[in-house]
Parts: sequence; structure tokens; C-alpha cells
Amino acid sequence: MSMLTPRTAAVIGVKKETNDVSTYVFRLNGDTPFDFKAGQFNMLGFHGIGEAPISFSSNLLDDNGFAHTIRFVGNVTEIIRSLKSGDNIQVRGPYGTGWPIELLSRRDVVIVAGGIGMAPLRPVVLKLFDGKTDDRFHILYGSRTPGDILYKDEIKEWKSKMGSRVLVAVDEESDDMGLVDVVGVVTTLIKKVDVDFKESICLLCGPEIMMRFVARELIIKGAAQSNIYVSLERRMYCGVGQCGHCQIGAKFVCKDGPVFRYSDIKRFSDTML
Amino acid sequence: MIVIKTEEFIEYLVSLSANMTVYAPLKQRDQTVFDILKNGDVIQLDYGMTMLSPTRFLFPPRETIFNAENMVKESSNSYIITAKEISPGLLPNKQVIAGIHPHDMHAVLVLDKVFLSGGFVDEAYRCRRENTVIVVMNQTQVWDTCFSRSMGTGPFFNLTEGCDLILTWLGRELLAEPVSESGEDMIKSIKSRKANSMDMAAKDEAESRTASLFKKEFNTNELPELLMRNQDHVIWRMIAEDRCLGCTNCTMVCPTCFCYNTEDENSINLSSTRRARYWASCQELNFAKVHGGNFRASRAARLRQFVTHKLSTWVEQFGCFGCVGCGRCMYWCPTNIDLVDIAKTIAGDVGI
Repeated sequence: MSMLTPRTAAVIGVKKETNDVSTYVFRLNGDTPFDFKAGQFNMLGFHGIGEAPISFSSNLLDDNGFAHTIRFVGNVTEIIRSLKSGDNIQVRGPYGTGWPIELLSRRDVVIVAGGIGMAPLRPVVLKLFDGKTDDRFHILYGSRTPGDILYKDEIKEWKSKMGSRVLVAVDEESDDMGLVDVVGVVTTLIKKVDVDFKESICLLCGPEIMMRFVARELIIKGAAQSNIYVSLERRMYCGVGQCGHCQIGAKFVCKDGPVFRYSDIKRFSDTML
Repeated sequence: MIVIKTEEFIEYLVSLSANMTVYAPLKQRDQTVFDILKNGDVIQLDYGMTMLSPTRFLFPPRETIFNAENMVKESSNSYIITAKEISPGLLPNKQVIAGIHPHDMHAVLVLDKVFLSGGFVDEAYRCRRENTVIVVMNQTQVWDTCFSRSMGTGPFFNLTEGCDLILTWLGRELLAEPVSESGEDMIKSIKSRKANSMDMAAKDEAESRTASLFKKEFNTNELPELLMRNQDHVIWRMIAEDRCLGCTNCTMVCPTCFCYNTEDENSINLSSTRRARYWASCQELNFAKVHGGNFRASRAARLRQFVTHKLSTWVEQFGCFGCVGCGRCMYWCPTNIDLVDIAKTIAGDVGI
């Protein structure tokens, strides 16, 4: 079978996150073993519709399950919106590189997420809570409105464990400001972080324009360009470096990324970085 | 190394075509076209440029990835289709590409890197490639836009791998050099004589004579770095806005362009789906579009993508240029946009 031929997976759980975002737990049919790294993605799709690249939003779950947090904005994701437990979906993957997990121990880690960009970073956060005992990490999360914040229960839990090391900013105020620390863009949170940025590893995911300003702020604070990692999104048909759509300069986002060192990808045109 | 009469080789190709698909340069009206050899066709081995490269017999413009028999389930507001059974697309048995020019053969080697050794193997390409016998025809005609000599891909094919047989036109005879087992097998079944020193001298003479015919010269020294340093040069916008029509001709005739889209075709009752892939072009408006934006919304960005990919970033990706110097893109561009001229202008402006 060609690598362009998908496998079938079933939905084993759905959790509504916001009005247009839900988290789905899938498992490949037929007890197929599955493994992946935080930061990688799957091509999810349906016959007759097409495929879309979606990052994992969990680490490997019990019984080879895996989660994707999906915003309903396109042909494929609108079909996913209608899925219930037991429904099937086509899956190809895992594809791409992952976050540099091996670099995170004994270093300060600054995680900056914007909007749905929290989803690819969630597996990293879970790994850090799981394995890192020195609590040397910070989570900065920007969201349009309080209603758009993903993983609200978990963020509440993270805040209770980590205090001011987990900070949330929103662009617009609303009635439910329980999780919110600041009204403003996510870059304003960087000022509130007390770490030596020169030695820190920074992991960014969100709209490219947001990552541009976050990266600049981090560099001004002393972070090295090569210690800033960004996860990018591009149009993709294959996931394996052949359909050509995701290219940024010499990089294929699908197989060289989607996680890049900022210094490796910034040198090319056609990004907002 | 042997010498065969040209008409004997052509007769051999005709006899092969009874049992397998043979692609050859055929005279069709006033053009030479690579097409399936059929009874009565005129084979033209000493040809100039073909509009389309024979690389399309390894990576076709459109092909089926798989066919699926579906189960259809009506959901709350849509139909969910899942595969009951999937069968791959049909792949060829043995086929022959005869008479491919050296620069197009180099384009095959470029596609090999993309589809076979880029970390993932494309099954359809691998199957076609392994089942294809390739006969290279050294180039003895040069057209105005051709600069394969500058790209190191012509006029003669000087590698001894990748193809099966290399031919050199010596008028009524062909010098034949097999470079694989299939190539050896091929010449066994053709009447031939041993090549002598005069034949070898005639080949060398033909090579230097052809090399002297090139009008287009291009210095590729430090070219990738030059283009990377000039991603914001005004020429991208000037040429794109003045002349680029966004027609995608350049990428459709390019022998190394590998980009594709996929498309699903459903039967009317949704009981079966065919997923196909077809050539895509970075010159299309929506090529780099995602939800919420388009990363190459301007024609300037799309033109820069084509030129810098072929002449610069390809080297970092695959260790070779993505341009083999065939000159098709500029020849078939309705406004004669010339990637060599663009690179030379940049080089001149920054004083190299």
C-alpha cells in the first residue's frame, strides 16, 4: 500500500472546548500499534472530501489512543464537527518533526501559545508536569476572548500548581474573566516572566503574526534565535515532502517541520516571522 | 561499445512496441512530441526541443492514488464516508522511454531525489521508475533558450548511471553505449558492429561541435547564495507585475516540477471514491493558501518562489539545482520571462 493511502480510526471520545473547537480522541481500528512525538501531526480526512494536517494535542493515550483539538473552519473539519463516538475517520501519519523535548530538562522553558496554538503545545506541557520536578517552566497563553480559551479545566489546575508561572491574556474582556491575568496581547505577558532568557528554551505556537512579535520580544529580552522554536502551518496534500505546497524556502514544513528553530526558518521569504 | 544503423534501431523500437509501451520522439505535424509509438509513426531521433518532457511518463500529469469502496453513514448534518476496501491505482508493466535528451535525463535524476530519496518513497513513482528502460539520445541540436551546458546537464550525458543505454547520433549510424544490464540486453538483439577509434573521435567531435552552438551562457557560481541574499530585490515585483500573467505554463513544461494537488471523485451514490493526484503549480493563486490567509498572495512572491526554488533553495533541499537548463519555461512563457535574465540582472546589480 502506498503511504498516501490512509488507515481508518474511530472516535472514542469527544470534548467540547469552545463554540468552534472540540478535542477528539481517536484510535486506529484493528488494535494497530501507534506512536508519535509531541509536535508531530496527522493528515485527517474522509474519502470524497480530502485531508487536512492537524497536530496531536495529546501524548500517546491508553490503548494507543491519540487526541486532536480541532477548530471547525474548513471542509474536513466541518465534517469532523459532526462525528460522534464510534464514527470513523481516515488517518495518515504521524508526520513531521517534534518539539525538542530532549533539550527541556535542566533548562528554563518558556511556552507561548496563541489561540488554537495551545493544542500542539499541550503534549509538551503535560510532559513537563509529568517529568520535570524543578518547575522551571512558564506558560503564556493569549486568546481572543475568555470564551476562546482551550483546556479551561486544565489551565485552572496548572495555575493552581504553578501560580504566576501560568499567565493568560485576552484581547477582549467578557463576563467570565476567571482565568485571565491581563487584557492585552500575549507579548505583554513576557514582561511578567522572571527568568534568564539568555539560557531559556522558548516554544511558540500561534498565528504567525503573533509569533513574529513574541519572538522579537524574546530576542530583545536576550533569548538566542536558535533557542526559539516555532510550529508553523501550511497548506499540505501529502505530508511527506512531495506535493510541494508547504515549502518555505528550502524547508518542507511537513517533513522538516512543522517545528523549526526560528533562526532556521526566518531567513526565508513568505513567512510573517 | 557498438555502432548500429539508425534505421535498425528504429525498427527495433517498432518491434518492441508490439509487446510493451514505447515512448519515443515522434514527428507530429511540425513538432516533435514524446508519445506512445504506434504503427506508422515517424520516429525523429535528431530532434530539438519537445514542449513536454518525457519525465511525465514517470510522474504523470494525473494518476489515481487509490480507489475505495465506501460505507456511507448519514450523520446529523452530513454523510460520513469510510472505506470498506481500498485498491491502489494501476501501475505500468515494463515500458521504454527512447531518445530522452541528457538534460531531461538529469531531470529524471532530480525527480528520483524527490520521490525516492527525500526520506519517503513514493510507491507509484518507484514502480514506474523500476519498470522503465531509458535510452538517452545525446543532443546534437541546440535551441536559443537552451543552456544545459551551463547547468552541467548537456549537451551529452556523461554519467554512467540512472539510464540504460546512451546513443550518439553519427548521421546514418548511432554509437550505442550500454550502462546497465537492460541496456546490454537491448543491443544484443540489434545488428551491430564494434565501435572503433574513428567512431569515438566522431562522438567527441559531435560533442564539442554541439557545445559550441549554445548561445545562452549562465554562470552558476555562488548563485544559490546570491538569490538568497536578494529575496527582497525589486526585480521580483517589477517582472511579476509588468509581465507575469500567472498562466502556470513555466511549471507545466518544467521537467523537474513535482508539486501536486489531490482530488476526490465520488460516484453519484457515494458508493465509491477515487482519489487522484494531478500536477499543481506554485504560480496558482491558492497554492500556499491556508485558513485565514495566503502566504504567497502576490504575483511577485509566486515568481520569486519559482525562480529561487529552481536556482537556489533546491540545492539545500536535494544537493543539485532544480533547473536542468532545457529552456522550456522561458520559451513557453507568453511574455518571455527568463529566469536566467532575472538572476543575471540581480548579479549585475549587486556587482558580481
